[in-house]
Amino acid sequence: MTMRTSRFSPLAVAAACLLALPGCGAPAAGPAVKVEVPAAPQLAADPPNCNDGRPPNATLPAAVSTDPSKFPAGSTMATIKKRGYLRVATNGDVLNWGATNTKTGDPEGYDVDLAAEIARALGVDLKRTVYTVIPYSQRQNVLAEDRVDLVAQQMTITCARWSGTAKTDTAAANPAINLSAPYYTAGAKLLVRKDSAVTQVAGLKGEPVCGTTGSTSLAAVAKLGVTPVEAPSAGRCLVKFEEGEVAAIVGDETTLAGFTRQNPSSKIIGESLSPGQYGLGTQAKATDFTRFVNAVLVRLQADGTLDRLYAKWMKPIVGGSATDVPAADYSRNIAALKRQS
Amino acid sequence: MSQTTSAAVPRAGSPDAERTGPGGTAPAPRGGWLAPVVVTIRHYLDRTPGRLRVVSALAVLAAVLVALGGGAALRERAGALDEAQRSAGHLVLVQSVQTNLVQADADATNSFLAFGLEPRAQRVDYINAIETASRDLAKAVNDGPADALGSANAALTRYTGYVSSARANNLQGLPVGASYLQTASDLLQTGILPQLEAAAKADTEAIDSAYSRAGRAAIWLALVVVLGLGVLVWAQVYLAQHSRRIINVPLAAGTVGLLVAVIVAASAMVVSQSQANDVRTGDLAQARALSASRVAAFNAKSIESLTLIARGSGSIREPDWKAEMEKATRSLPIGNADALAALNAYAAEHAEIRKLDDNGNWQAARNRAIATGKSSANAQFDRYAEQTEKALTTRASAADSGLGDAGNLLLPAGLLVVLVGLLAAVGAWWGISLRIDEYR
Repeated sequence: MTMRTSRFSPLAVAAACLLALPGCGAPAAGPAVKVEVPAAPQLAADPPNCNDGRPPNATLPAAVSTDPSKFPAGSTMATIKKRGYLRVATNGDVLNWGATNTKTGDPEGYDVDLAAEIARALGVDLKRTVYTVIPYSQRQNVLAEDRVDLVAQQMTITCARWSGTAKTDTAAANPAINLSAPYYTAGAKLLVRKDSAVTQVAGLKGEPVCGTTGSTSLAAVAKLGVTPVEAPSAGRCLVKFEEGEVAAIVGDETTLAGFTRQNPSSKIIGESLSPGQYGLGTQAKATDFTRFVNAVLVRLQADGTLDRLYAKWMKPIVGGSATDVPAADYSRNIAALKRQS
Repeated sequence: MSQTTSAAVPRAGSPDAERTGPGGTAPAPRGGWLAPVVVTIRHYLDRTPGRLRVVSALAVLAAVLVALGGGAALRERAGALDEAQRSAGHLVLVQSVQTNLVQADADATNSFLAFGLEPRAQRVDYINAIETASRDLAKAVNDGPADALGSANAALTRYTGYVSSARANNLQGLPVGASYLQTASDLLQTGILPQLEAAAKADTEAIDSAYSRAGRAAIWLALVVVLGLGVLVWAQVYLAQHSRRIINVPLAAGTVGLLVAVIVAASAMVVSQSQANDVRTGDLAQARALSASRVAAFNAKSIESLTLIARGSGSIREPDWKAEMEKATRSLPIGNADALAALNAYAAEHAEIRKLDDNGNWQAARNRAIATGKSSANAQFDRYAEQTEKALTTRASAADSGLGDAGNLLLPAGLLVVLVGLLAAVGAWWGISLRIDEYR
């Protein structure tokens, strides 16, 4: 697929920064930084550029240093380090990504491990990390309200998140946030019974298919002729699936992967619909922390940590060998970005 | 006996004289086949004994009317009160289903938080609540609006299925258990409780209509009495005008006896009405308010647990919790100070739980929410639940027996009116026939 591009480009960029350019990415002002990174190949269907003229995946340049002993005074990192623990918002019921282990009461999964890596890089006590489980609709609010430092919750990188959205008749206002470089590429797929002969959406024409209310993937499969059934959460779709109310579930393959673990009589099928990249969310004003997170991601990519996380959480279910993300694009122009206050 | 004749002649004489002339001849040329009949009737009425016989018939009819009409009115009122009692009994049954189901849901959601280590007592409480609810619902379906309750009954089967799946998944540590529990709770809120509420409303309306039926019975009694006694008094006056005797003893005795019986009947009605009204505004109203309070409070308790199960959605469900608690407090009748204190103590504990969760200390919040110690949220809430249950049981059975007692005097009073009425009829017939005999 066109999305599968070099997994090592963030490393290359970071290496260039660290080795060649002492001031690389240091100033917060985007335009001054001259880091030429080839933009990720875009699908024709990819969303247009954001209102600063940059693609959704574009982010702030990676920080030069991630050394906890050299956090500038007054920086977000210094504040967190002084506090002693990281505050993270994640999922509570998405198996393998963010789910409460009911035996220990602790959350676990890919996103939880990734957040732990950020905490480790900050040099704070991992055991004291405060995980807040939030519904998807609250992701931007908890950052804007300074209730968390980081959102690690299968969050797709979009322009709407970068710029924030005003209140509409159907949706509440969502404040602007910063997003990291992509760390995972996921698309929507279908969950069907294990004995189903269906391999494509087309095979489910006229059949009831469950998706979360307002999700783009549900709208997409509805156009292909299935009967859409809405549920307030992906988990509620699994209930409908197990109760025989729907023939299939459409949702992020990462979420569906957790469903196959809970229901071994199901399997994931279909082409990846509208694939998007997951990014870590940070507070809009904390650009220094966004750049710090980007630098940590470069290292996690380079030292194989992301591959290990994939092998730990996703490979046993969906196979494959590693997460494939587009090259990091550090061209985000915060100054030119028009944001909802 | 001689004065009777002299008394009858002068008074009745003048109209009689006028009618005798034309009465015998006038209709004859016009009338066809009817003419002979009219002539006969005229001839009959021309004479005093004939008219007295008509008065006698009217008086007898009036007494019988009061006897049967009054008896029927009392019977109607007794029937209406029986109906009110039946509807009230059904209402109590439906309310028992409502409160038992929300109690079961509060148990299921709270024990879910223990992740497989649910307290045994809570599990037993859940099972008992579901059993009581199913039993009462089956009874209520039999003698109530079958459509709404039938669908509630069907949904209850699904509800318990969802809860079982939630529990089984939870035991295995699978997050979908929480989704099953949420689905169960949603079904309860949308597919069962509204149907029960509709049935409760129908019962309330049936009680109201039974009360107005009972009220109408009083009007019928008044109407019948005014008409019947009016005719009897008129008959007495007629006799007095047409004779020198002011009082016809048998007729007067019957009339007075009937008046006394009617007064007794009216008193029985007034007593039953005030007793029934007392039940409606007292025990029955209290039972309804207590039940409303319990449903809202258990709902709030479920919301608290579901919020913790969803982890972190507290800020979103908290307004729902507040609304239910406000309803629970507002509905709680005055005089349940202990229950109110317990409810407030629970609310204070809830605030602590929310504070912990909102500050990111979910584990501590959850531990506090499932604790069973003396001042724990669960213990405070149980205190409220026990107090209100006791009060509800007392009020419900008081309402039932109160409505039963309210009608106690009505049927004997009705019987009295019938008996005395029939005796009065005999008296009227006898008394007037004595007068008629005097013309022979």
